[in-house]
Amino acid sequence: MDIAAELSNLHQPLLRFAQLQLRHDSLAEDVVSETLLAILETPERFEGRSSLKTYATGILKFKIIDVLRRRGREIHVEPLAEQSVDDALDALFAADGHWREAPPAWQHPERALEQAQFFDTLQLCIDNLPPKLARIFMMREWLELEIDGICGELQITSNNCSVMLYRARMQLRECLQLRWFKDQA
Amino acid sequence: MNEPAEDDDIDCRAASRLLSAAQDAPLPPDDERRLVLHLGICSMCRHVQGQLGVLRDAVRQIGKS
Repeated sequence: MDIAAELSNLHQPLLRFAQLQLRHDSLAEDVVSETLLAILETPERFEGRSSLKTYATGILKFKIIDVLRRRGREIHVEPLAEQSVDDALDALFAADGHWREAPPAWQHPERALEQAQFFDTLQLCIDNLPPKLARIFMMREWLELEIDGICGELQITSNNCSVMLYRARMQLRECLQLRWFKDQA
Repeated sequence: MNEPAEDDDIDCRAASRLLSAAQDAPLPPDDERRLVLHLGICSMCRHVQGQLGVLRDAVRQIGKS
């Protein structure tokens, strides 16, 4: 398969990542097109040291970060209402501050990271998050942006930012527990 | 030796907040101490600590194959 055909297969998965981050269809299309074009124009830079998907995803991340820097203010994220922040924290814990459901140890996480099926489950769990939580979480963990940068770009307080990341992590932890690790014991 | 002060005692709810915060920036020394003390006596929160690390590793691998 030539590189153009391989790249056209990557269009959909890349667009999914971009839409999750940018929440803006035409901006997302633009960054994906720019990514694919950049690779087509200088295919010699792709030296086959990684898969084409890995290479394209790396370029896409840089382009998404660039759009967030330039246009972050246009991509509005509603901060959480303070009440819903407290509610979310309460749901996981009993009144005495203990876990309602004791988190068990995860068996063989290193094996999970080698399985495509695990990543499908992870994607499903991310898709199940409220969109704004998914977006902030992926900015932090997938784009690897620093928390100060994220709150600044999105103009939300750092406390609100931390709480959103906390909620996202706790929900993902629970989702992976139920949909993957529960059956691995 | 200093006895731990009473407010060094945190519950799992507070510990889980600190575990998440520690993924984003170094904790202030007081919080760090409270968290370490709590993790020493709470296997559930140690599990969660490990799980947040797995989650981070997994998300960084998304798109790499």
